[in-house]
Amino acid sequence: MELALAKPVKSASNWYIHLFFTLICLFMIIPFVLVIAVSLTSENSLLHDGYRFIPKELSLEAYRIVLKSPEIWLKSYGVTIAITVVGTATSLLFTTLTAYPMSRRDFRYHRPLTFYIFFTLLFNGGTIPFYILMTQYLHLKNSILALIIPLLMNPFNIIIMKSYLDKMSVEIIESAKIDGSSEFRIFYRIILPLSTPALATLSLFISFAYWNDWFNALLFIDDNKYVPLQLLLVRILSQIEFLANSPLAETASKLQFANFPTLSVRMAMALVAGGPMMVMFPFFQKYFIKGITVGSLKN
Amino acid sequence: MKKGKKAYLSSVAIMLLSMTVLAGCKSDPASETTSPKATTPTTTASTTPATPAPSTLPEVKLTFYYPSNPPGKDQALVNEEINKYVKSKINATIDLKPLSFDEYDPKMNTIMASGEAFDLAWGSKYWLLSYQPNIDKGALLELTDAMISKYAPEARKNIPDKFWPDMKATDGKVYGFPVYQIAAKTKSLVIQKQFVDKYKLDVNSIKTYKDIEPFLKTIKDNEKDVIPFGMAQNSWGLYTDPNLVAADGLAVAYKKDDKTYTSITKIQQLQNKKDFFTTMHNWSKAGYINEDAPLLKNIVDLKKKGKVAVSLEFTTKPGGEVDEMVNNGGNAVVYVPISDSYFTGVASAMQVISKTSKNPERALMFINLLNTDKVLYNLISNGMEGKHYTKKDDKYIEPIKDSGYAPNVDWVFGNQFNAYLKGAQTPDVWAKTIQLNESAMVPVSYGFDVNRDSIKSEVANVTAVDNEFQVALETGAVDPADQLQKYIDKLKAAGQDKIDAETTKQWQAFLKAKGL
Repeated sequence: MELALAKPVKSASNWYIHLFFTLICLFMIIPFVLVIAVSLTSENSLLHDGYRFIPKELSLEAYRIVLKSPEIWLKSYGVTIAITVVGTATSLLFTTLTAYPMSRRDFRYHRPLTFYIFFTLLFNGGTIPFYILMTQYLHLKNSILALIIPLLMNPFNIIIMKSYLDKMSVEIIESAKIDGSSEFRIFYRIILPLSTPALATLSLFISFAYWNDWFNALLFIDDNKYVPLQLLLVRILSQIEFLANSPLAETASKLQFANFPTLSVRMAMALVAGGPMMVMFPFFQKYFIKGITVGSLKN
Repeated sequence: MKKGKKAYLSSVAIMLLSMTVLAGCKSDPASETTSPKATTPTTTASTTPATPAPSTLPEVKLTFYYPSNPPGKDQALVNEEINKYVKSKINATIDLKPLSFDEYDPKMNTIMASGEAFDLAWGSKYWLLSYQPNIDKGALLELTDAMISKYAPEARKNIPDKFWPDMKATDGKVYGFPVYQIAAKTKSLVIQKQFVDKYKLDVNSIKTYKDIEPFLKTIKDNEKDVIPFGMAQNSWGLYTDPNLVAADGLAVAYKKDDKTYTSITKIQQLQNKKDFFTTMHNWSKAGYINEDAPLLKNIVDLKKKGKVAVSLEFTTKPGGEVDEMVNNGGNAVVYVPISDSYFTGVASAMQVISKTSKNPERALMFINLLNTDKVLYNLISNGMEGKHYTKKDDKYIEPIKDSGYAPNVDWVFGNQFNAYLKGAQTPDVWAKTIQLNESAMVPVSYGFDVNRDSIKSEVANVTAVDNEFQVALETGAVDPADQLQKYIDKLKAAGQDKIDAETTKQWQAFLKAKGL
C-alpha cells in the first residue's frame, strides 16, 4: 500500500495536475487579493485609476469609517459569535436527537415521523404566522433567543443526518444491547462517535447559517444590544447607498459625507464581516478532513 | 424497541421543555392597558394652540417607526431628552424606532400584517410603506377633518390648501399627515461654474436644451479630457417643450393653450421629438456626449471625477447647487432651468397612524408637535446642543463629527422649514423652497393615473420595447433617421395604440368628473 502511494506519477501528467490546481487556486485568491487592495486604496485614486492590485495611494480611511465606533462592532461580533457557538452546538444536538429515532427501523413511528419532518420542508406557514408565533405566543421579541431558536431544527439537516444514520448497521446496536448498554449509552458512545463526518458537515452548514443570518434579527430585534454583525452591515450598506444615490438625502448630510469612500468601505466591510470565518475555517477543516477519514474507515 | 421509543420521547420532552422555559422568560405586554377615549381632552378647535394642559391628559407611551440612517450610540440618550420635552407638552413619551432603509418595508409589512400594536410610522406615496396599498389593507387610520382641526390645527395651517387634495386616497379620505418640503420639480442644466466664468457664458440666454450647443462646442474644442455633456441610463430626458404640459411622471400630456386638454399620444410625442433625437445624435457624433452613456448605470459615478461640464438635473431644489458640488468632484455649479416648475405633490413623505394604535389622538398631537415645534424638531433631527452640534448663531449649526447622534434624515421627522441651517445652505433656502412650491404649476392632469388592469400585457410589451430603444435614442447613440421609425413600428406591434385609446378614454372620464 505505502509503496503504491509513494510511487511517483509520470512527470508530465504531474505537471498538468500541478498547473491545473495552481490555476484554480489563483482564480480563488486573486479576487480576494483585489478586495484587500481596494479596501486599502484611497477613494480618489479608485475614481481616477480604477481598481488596481497595487494601490496607488494607500489609505486606511475605509477601515477608520467601518471601525468608527468599535464598541458597536464588538457588541455585534459578540452577538454573532455567541449565537453561532451556542446555536451550532444546540442545533447539532437537536438535529441528531431527532434524526436518530427516524433512522431506527425498529422504532414503530419512524415513517410518520420522517414524513412529519419532511412535510415542513415542503410547506411552511410563511413569515407572518412565524412572526406572530415568535412575538405574541413565545414573546421572543428583543431576545437573543429569537436569533437562536428559529434556526435550531432545519428539516433539511435532519434528513441529511437521518440518511447518514440509516447506513449504521443494526448489528452494532444489537451487540451493544446484548452487552447491556442503554439506549442513551448507545447513542452517545456508539452512534455519535461513528457519525463524526456527518456531524462535521452539519456543523459547518449550521454555523454558516447562524453566522450569515440577519433576517431574524431584522424581524425581532429592536434593541441595539442584540444586533448581529450581518444586520449591522446591512444597515451601514444601506446608509452608504442612500447617501450616494438618493435625491432625498439632505444637502448638509451629503456634504458631511462628501469624501465618503463608498467603494473601499464596501470592500473593507466584506473583510471585516467575512474575515473571522475565513481564518477559522482552516482550523475547522482539520477536523472536517479527519472526520471524513474516520468515516471512510468505518466498514 | 421500547427503549428506543423512550429515548426518543425523552429527547422530545427535553426539546419541548426548553421551548416552554424560553417562552416563559418574557413578560406579557398585554397587561399594559390604557383607556384613551375616556379622557379625551375637551378643548375645542381654535386658532390658539389646541394642545390642552398636559396635566389633564393621562400619560401614554407612543411608538414611532421611521426609516433612518443608523443614528449612532446616543439614540437612547436623545430619546430620553425628547421624552422629557414631549411629556411637558402633551404628557406622552415616545419610543423611537429607527430602521434602516432596507429593513423598513419588510419589517413594517410584517408588523402590520401581524396586527402588532404601534402608533406612528413614516410613510410615502410611492416609496417605503406606500400609501394606497396599506390603506387597501386597512392598516392605516383615517384622519378626519374633525380630528385634524382638533389635534393638529397648527401643522395643518402650514400646508397650502391647494396641496391638500394630494393627501386624499382613492376613496377621497385622508390617512396621513404630510411632511411639508419641496413639492415642485424643474428641469435644469447643471453647468460647472469654472467653465461658465472662463468662457463667459450668458446663462440667461439659455431657454431650451438647444441653446447650450455652442457652449458644448467651446468645451469640446478647448478642454481636453472634459466631457461636454454627461449622460447615463439614469440621467437622460433632456427634451423639453415649453408649449407642452408633460412633466415626467404624469400619465398624459396636453398642449398648454389647449382648453379641451386633448391628450397627445406617445407616438405623436415621439414624432415631435425627431428633431431632438437628431440633435442628440449629432452631439454624440461630435463627441459632446460621453460614448458610454447608454451603458453607464449611474451618472454620479462619472460626475464625481469632476470632468463633466454640463449635465441634467430633474428636481432643481433651492440650495441644490451645494449638493451638486459634492457630486461634481467639489467643483461649483450653476443651475440653468430649461422647463416650467411643476407641482409634484406633498404626499411623498408623511406620517401615518396605525389602526392598531391605542392612542391615535395623542399620536396626532405628536405629529402636530413634530411639524410645528422647533425645539422638538431640531432635537430629533440634530440631537442635543453642545453634545451633537454647536450653534454658530441663531440660524446656523455645526454638527460635531462622530458625535454619536446623526440620523441625517430631517425630511422624515417633520416640517423642514423649522430646521436649523447647516454648512453651505443659504439663509433664504426655506423661504425660496416655499416660494417655489407655491408658484409651481399644478397641471390639470395632476392626480390622474391610468388604471392598467385591462392593458397589463400591452404595458409590459411596450416597456420591453422602450428598454430597447429609449436610452439609445435619448443619448444620441443611434441615428433616429431609421431607428425612430423602427421604434414606432415596434411600439404599435406591442399594442401602444390600445394603451393610448384606453388612456384617452380614462382621461376624458377624469376631465368630465372634474367638470372640464
